[in-house]
Amino acid sequence: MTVIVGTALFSQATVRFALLGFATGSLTALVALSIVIVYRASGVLNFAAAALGAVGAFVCYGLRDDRGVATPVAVAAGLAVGVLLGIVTYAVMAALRRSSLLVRLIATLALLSSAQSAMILIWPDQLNQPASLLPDRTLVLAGDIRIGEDRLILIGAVLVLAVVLWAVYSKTLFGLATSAVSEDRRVASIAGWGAARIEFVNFVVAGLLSALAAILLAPIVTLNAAVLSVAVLPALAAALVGRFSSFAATVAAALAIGALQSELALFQPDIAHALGVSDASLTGLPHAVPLLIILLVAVMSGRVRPARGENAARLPLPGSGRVARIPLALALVVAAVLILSAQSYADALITTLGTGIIIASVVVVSGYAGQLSLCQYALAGFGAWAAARSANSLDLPFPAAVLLGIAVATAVGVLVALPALRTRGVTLAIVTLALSLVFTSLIFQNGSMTGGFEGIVVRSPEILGYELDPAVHPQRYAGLMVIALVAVSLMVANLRRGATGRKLIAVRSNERAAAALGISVVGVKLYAFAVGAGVAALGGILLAFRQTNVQFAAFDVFGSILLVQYAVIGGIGWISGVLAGAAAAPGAIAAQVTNDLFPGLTNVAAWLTIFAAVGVVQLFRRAPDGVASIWAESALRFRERLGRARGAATAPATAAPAASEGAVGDGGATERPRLSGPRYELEVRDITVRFGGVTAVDEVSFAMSPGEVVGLIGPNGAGKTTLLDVISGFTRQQSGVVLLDGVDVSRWTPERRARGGIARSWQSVELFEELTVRDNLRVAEDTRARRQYLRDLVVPDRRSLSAFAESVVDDLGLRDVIDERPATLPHGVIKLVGIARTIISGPAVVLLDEPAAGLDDRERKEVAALIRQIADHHGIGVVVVEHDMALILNTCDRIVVLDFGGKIADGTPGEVRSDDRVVKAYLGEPTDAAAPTGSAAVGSPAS
Amino acid sequence: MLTRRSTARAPLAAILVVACLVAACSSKDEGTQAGGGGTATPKTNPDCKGEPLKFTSIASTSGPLTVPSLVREGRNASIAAVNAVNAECALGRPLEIDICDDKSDPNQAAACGRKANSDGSLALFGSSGGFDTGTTAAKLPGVMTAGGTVFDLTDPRSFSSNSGLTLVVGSGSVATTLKVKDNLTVAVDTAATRSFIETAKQLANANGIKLDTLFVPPDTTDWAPVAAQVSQRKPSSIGLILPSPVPFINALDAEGITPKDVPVFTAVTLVSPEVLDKLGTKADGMYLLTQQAPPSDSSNPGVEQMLKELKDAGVDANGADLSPASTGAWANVHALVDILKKLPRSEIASLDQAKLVDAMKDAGPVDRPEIAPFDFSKPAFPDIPALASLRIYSRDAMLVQVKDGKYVRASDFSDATQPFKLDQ
Repeated sequence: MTVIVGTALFSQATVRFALLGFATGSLTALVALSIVIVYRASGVLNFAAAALGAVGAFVCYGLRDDRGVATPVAVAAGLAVGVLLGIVTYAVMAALRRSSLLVRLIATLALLSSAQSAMILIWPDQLNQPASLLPDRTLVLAGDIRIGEDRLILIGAVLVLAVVLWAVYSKTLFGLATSAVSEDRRVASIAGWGAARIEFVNFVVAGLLSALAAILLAPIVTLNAAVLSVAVLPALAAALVGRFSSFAATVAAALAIGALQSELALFQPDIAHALGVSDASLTGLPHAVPLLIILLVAVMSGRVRPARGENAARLPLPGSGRVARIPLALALVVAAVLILSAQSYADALITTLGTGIIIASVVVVSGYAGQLSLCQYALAGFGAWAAARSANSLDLPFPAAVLLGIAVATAVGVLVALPALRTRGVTLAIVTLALSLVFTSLIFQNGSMTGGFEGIVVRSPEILGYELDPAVHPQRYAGLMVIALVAVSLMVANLRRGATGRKLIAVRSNERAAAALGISVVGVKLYAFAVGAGVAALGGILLAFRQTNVQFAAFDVFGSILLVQYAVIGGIGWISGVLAGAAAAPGAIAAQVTNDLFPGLTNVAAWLTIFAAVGVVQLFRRAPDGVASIWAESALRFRERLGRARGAATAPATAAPAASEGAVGDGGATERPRLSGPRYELEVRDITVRFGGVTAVDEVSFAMSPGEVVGLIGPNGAGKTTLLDVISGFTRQQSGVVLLDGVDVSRWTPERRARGGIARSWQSVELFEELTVRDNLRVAEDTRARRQYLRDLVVPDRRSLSAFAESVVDDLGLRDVIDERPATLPHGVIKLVGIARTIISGPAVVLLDEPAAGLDDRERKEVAALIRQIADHHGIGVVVVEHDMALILNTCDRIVVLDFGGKIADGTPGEVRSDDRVVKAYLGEPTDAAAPTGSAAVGSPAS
Repeated sequence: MLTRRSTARAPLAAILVVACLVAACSSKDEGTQAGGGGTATPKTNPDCKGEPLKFTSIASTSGPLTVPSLVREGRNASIAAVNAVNAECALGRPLEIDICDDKSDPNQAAACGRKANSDGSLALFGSSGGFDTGTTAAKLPGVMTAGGTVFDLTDPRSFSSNSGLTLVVGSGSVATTLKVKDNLTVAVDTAATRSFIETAKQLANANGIKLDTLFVPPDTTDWAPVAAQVSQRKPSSIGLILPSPVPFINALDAEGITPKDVPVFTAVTLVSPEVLDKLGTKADGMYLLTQQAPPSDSSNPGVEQMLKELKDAGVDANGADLSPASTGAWANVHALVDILKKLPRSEIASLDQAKLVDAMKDAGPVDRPEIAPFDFSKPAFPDIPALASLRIYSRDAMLVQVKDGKYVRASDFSDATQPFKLDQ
C-alpha cells in the first residue's frame, strides 16, 4: 500500500479527483437549477425538489428493471412523473399563494417528507443501484486520470443546460415574463402575461429537471429515497451562492462544491497530518464543505438589520399565551388515564410529551421570535449528548445531568443564534438546517464522541431515590414527562404574556421598529435561541435517557424538518398546540393508536408522516395559525354563546374613559400626567450621506432645543427620511456627527439611541402586526431591564399602560380599538397608533416621519395638537417630517428645508414661507393668497 | 359547498394513490425474491403435551430496519427446527418460539419486551432486537443471542452463541490467510466500528499485516471518490465494514478493482442475499467471514438435516439459494435443545429463568457441525483486552466465498485470530 501522506498539490490525482467532484457537482447543479427556476418564478424555495425528482427515478428504474419496459419509455415515464409532481407542487403553492413565503417553504418541507415516506412505502427495496442510462465505460484520459464516461457526459450536459437556461431566461419573452411575474404578479398580468400560466410552466420545467437529476443520480448514489432527497442540501448551497437567480453562478458553485469535497477527501490524510490529528478524526470534513459555504455566504451577504422597506416574512399568528385552565385540566385527566391504562400508552405518551417539549422550543424561537430554525431537534440531541457525557464522566445524578445538559445547550443555543443576527427568513432556515447537519456530522455520527459501541452509558433515572427507569416504570417516567411539559408550557406561556414576549413578537414583526423602541434586536434573538435551546435540550434529554445506553442517531436532519411540521400542525406560535403536533411523531400517541387499530399495518411512521404532511398543507389553507388557533376560536365562540344565553352584558375589560375627540389642548393641561425623564438638545452637524454615487444628504446641520418643534420639509427625495434614519441610527453617515445633549451618538446603535431618548415614528407606520394596539403601546413602555428576561419566565410582567399612555390613547381617540390588531384598523387609526407608540416610549427627543399622511382633517388636528402638547407641556423637542404644510406652518417653531440633500433654508414659518429658494424648490407659487389650511393649500409638494 | 368537498377530497385522494401504489408495487412473488423460499408452517404434535417452553425473539420484521430475506429465512428455519423438536417431543414438553415484531420502533420493542415478560416466556431467544427498550422491559435472560447489542454483549444473563465482533477480529486473519501484505478496511464511521477496528488492527499487525482504515461518514452518497481513494492507496486487500456495500463495490468495479484481482472480504452479515442479488457477479470472489455454515454446503451434516427439516415444514429450498442466516436460526434452536436435553426431565418440567441460566452456564462446549463451537462457561477472547469482558463465547469462524452470486464454503471453522486453512 502506498504512503498516503504527501499528495502533491498539482498532480494527476488532483485532476482526477477534481473531475470526479465536478461530476458529482453536475448532478447537484441539476437539482440546484430546478430550485433556482422555481424561486425565480414564484419566490418559493423548494426544499422538496430532490425528493420529488427521486419519485421519477423510482418510476423510471422500476419500469425498466422490474417490469422490463424499454429504456426510452421508462425514462419518459420517469420524467412525466417529475412533471406531474412539478404540477402538484405548483397546485400546492397556488393554493397557498396568499400565505407568507415561510408558510410556503414549510409546505415544501411537507412535500419532501411525504414524498420520501411514499417512496419507502411504495418501493421497499431501497438498496437498488440501477445501471446507468449513459455509457459507463471508464476512460483513461492520461496516466492515472480515469473517469467514467457517464460522468464526463454529465459535466458537459450540465454546462450546456446552464447556457440554454441562461439564454431562455434572459433573452426570450418567456424569461422576461418570468422575471416580471416574480417581481409583481399584478403588473405582469396588466402587461398581458398570465402570471399563473408562467408560474405553471416554470414549475413544470423544474419538475422535469429534478426528475432528470434523480434519474441520472440514482445509478451513482443508489435508488434510495433518503439518499436522493438529501441531494437538496448541497443544491441549496449552490443556489444560495447563485442568489437563487444566476444559473451560471449556481452551476459554478455546484461544480466547485463537488470538486472541493472530492479534493478534501484526497487530501484528508495530509490535512490530518498537518493538524497533528488522526485521519479518522476528519471523516466528516468533505461533507462539511457545503455547510460551511452556506454559512459563509449567508452570513457574509446578510445584514444585521433589514433594509428600509424589507418586510419580515410573515409567520402564522402567535397565540395569546393565556392559560386555559379547563382544557389544561382535561388534558391532564386524559394524560393520567392514558398513563394508567396500559404501559404501551405510557411509552407512547413519553414520546409524545418529549416531542412536545422540543416543539415548545420551536414555539419560542420561530413562533414568538420569528426565527425559522430547522436545528431545534439537533439542539435537543446536543443537550442529550452533553447530559449523557456529564452523567457518564462525572457520575452525576439524573437531575444534575439534566440541569447541566440544559445549561450547556443553552450556551450553544447562543452560538447557533449568531448567524441569525445577519440572516433571516428562508436564508436562516437554510443556515439552521446546515447547522443541524454540522451537529450530526461532528457529534451524532462521530464514533469517538458518542461512547463506543455501547453508546454513552448512564444510570437509570431517579430523583431523590425514587426510581423512574422508563423501561421498568414507564408510568412513573410518563408522569415526570407530564410535569416537565406542564412546567415548560407554563414557562413559555408566561414568556408570551410578559414584556419579554412582546419584545420577541416585536422583533419577529419588525426589527427596525423594535430597534427604534430601544429593544435590543440582537439580545432578543440570542435570548430566544438560548431559551429555545434549553427547552429543546430538556425534551432531548428526557427522550434520550429512556435508555441507559444513550444514543443519538435519532437526532438527524430529517427529524429537525419533521419537527417544524409538527409544530405547524399544532400552531407554531401556540404553546397549547404542541401536543397536537407531537401526537403525530413516530412512536407517539397517533402511532400507538394506529398500531392498535391496524395491527397488521407496517411502516406506521411513514404513513403518519404522509398524513402529517397532507395535514400541514390542508391546515395552511384552512387555519394557517394551527390547530390550537381553531380551538381558541371555538372556545371564544362558545364563551360568547354562553354569554348571550345568560344575557350577560359584555362590558369592556377595563373601565375606559370615554374617547375624547379634540380633547388635546382643551385646557386642564396641568392635570395631565407628565412624562418623566431628561429633556435634551439635539444637534445635527454637517451630516453627509451617499448611496453609491448619489448624495442623499449633503452637509446638513441644524439644532433643536427641548420643547421646540422643528419641521423638516422638502420635495420627495430631498433626504428628509434619510436624515431621520441618520439621527435614529438606521443609516450611517459618511461624515458629520449627531449630538444628543452635546454627546456624540454617531456610533451608537439605533437601540442605544432609542434608550438614550431618541424616539421616532415611521412613514410606513411599522406597527407590530401580531400585537394588539394595547400591546403595541405596552412594548413602548416596557422596561428594558435585563432581569425581566428571566423574571418573565416565572412571573410575567402584567403592568398596564401608564396614566400618560392612557391619556394619549384618549387624546388620539384610540380607546375603542385598544384591543384590536392593526390589520383590522383603517390606515388613519394605524397612523395614530404609530404616533402614540412613539410618544409614550419616554423620549427626550421625538422624530415624526409624515405623521399626518393619510389622516383626515380631524385626525390631523389631533396630531398637531398632540405635537404641541409634547413640546409645550412635556418640554420635549420634536422633529416633524411632513408634506402637510398647514400642519407644519401652524405647529412648528422652526422649519428646515432640504432640497437634493442640501439645506436651503432654516427659520421660522414666516421666514421660510417667504424664502424664494423654498418657494421655488418646494412650495411653488401660491394659488391662493389666504393662509394655508390644508396640505395642498400652499403650493403642492413635489410628488 | 362543492369547493369544500373537493378540497377535502384532494388530500384523501393523494393518500389513496400512495396506498394503491403500495399494493401494486409490493406484490412481488415471494419465491422470486432474494434468499429464495416459501413459507414454513408451524406444526403441533398432539402427543407432545404439557405447558410449552416458551421463548420470544424480538426483531424488526417490518419497518425501515428490516431485511426481508433474513427475516424470512430466520422465521422459516426457526419454525422448521421447532417443528422437528416438537415432532419427537425432544424436551418432553412442546417448545414454542414467538417472534415479536418491533416494527422498527423502540416503543413497540418495549411492548414486545413486556409481552415476553408477561406471557410466560423463559428468555429472549436469538434476536433481542435493535432497541434496548425491548430487553430492558422484558427483564428476561437472553439465550443464543446474536452478540451484537449492548444487552447481548454485557448483560450477565445473556448467552450469545455467535457475535459479529468475532468476525471483525477475524479480518486480520483473513488477510494472513490470503497471503497479502497489507489491508485497507473501509469502515463506516460509527462508535461500534471505531471501538473494535483497533483490535483487528493489532491482531493483523501481530500477524505481520499492515491494516489501515478509511472511515467514511454514514451518510456518504457518492462512492466514486472513496473508491478512487482506495485505488490511490493501492492496497493488496480490502476489508469492508459497510452496512450497505452495494454502491461501494460497484464504484470499486468502476475503478477496475474486483474481488477476483484484489481480495475483498467482510462479514457475511453485511452481505445479505439482497446485496448479492444486487451485485450479481461483481461480488464473485469476495470472502465472507461467518460463524454459520452456508446452506449450500451439502457435505455438512447439520446443513443436510436443516434442509430436510425445512422441506418437512413446507419450504422446498435449494441450499444454494439460502444464506448462512438460515443455518444460524435453525442451529440456535437445536443447540438450545441440546443444552436442555442434558437436564433431567424433571428439571425441564419445572424449568424457570434461574434454572435456564444455570443450564446455560453449565452447558459446557457446544459443538455442532453447522455453526462455530461455543462454550458459555468460557469467554472467547480472554487474551484480547477490548473483548475480554464481553459476553462472546465463540472464537471460531469460517470463510465463505461468493461464487456465481452464491455463498460457497471456503474453509472449515477455526480460530478467527489465526489464519484459516482454505479448502482445496
